[in-house]
Amino acid sequence: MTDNVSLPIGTWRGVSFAVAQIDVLRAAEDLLVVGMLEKDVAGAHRGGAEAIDHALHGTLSRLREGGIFTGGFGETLMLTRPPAPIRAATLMLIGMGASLTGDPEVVGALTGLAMQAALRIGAASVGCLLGWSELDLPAPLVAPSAAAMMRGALAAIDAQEQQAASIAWTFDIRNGAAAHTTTALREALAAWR
Amino acid sequence: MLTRVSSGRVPARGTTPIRILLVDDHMLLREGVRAVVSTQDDMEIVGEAGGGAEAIREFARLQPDLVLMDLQMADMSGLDAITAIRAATPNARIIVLTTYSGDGRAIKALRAGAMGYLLKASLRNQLLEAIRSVHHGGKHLDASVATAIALHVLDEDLTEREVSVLTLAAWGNSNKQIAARLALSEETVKGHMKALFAKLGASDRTHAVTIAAKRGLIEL
Repeated sequence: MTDNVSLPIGTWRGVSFAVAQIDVLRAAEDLLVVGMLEKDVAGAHRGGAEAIDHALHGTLSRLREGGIFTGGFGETLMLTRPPAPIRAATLMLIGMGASLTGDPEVVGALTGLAMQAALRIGAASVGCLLGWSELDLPAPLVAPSAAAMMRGALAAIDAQEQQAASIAWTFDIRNGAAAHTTTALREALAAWR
Repeated sequence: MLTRVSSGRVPARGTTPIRILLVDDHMLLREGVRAVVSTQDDMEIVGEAGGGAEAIREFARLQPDLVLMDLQMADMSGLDAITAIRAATPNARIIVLTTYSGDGRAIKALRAGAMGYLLKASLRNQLLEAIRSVHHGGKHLDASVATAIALHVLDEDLTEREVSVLTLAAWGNSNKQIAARLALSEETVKGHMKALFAKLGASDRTHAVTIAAKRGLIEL
């Protein structure tokens, strides 16, 4: 479940994309994808990841601090059956490395990882909260980052041999650039066709 | 024309089934897991073992992509088997499938190299998700176990000596008897007990034993 404002992007091989600010406590998605850095950066946004960590009384932070999940780039940890108040069926943590580089291709690679996981587990609904979408990105980086996210997702879909089951995929956007991001995502999808 | 596969899941191009070694000393459990896996196009059970030592031999012989490992087995614990397999094959992918939800065994298993930790009470789909996630290099935990781990992963570990002392206490030994068995002074045993109470947040020795057993820090 997402906030009221959900902007549709389009569909590719059974996957319907949208943009919205996801309420991580209300979201009853099959899969919630959350990006985590190796260490929190002072003053930086943690957005959805922080909300989930708070709801789970610091579980995510302590797993990272204890070395169970380090946050290294591309590392993944699936948590099935998260406790209340989280309503999503599965949480997927994705390591984003030491820092947010702002490199669009890095965003794309991690989005691809998330899509691969969604396809593997047969998720019907996915909320994707990667850190970049929460940043106050410089305007020139918004469109390239959004396009890279879409390309990463589409490449993962196309790597599958057969038609994916129907997936409702929502990119979480909370940096105030939803309209700009939506346009870039739509253009990237159109260019992929 | 694109079509759905029978399992409802979409294999990536050019993939072969995930070859799984199943390790559990209960045949009924093995039969159940085999039945679940056999419904999937992208995975297969290539071997079974009823104990830790056999698991190590079968892993070396079959070189499976992934191992489903019980922890409590008669001849050798799953933890020791994980350690041995990972020592020989550092990139071996192992998922623990156990009845134990306590953090102690889970932390030990993950630190020994297990990449997944699931409870036998897990749903069928959770097992299949875990197999696929771990095969692709990810980690997979039951969230209730993750929560238990998170509560204690930053705690100071019990030392081997403290575990020995508490295990003997659990079997009804007095401090004097524990001291005699471990060739320590009674004062030293009292010191270990005091440290145990502090680490476990226990009010007395019975409380300490209860906490440690529940968390899987001692074997009874």
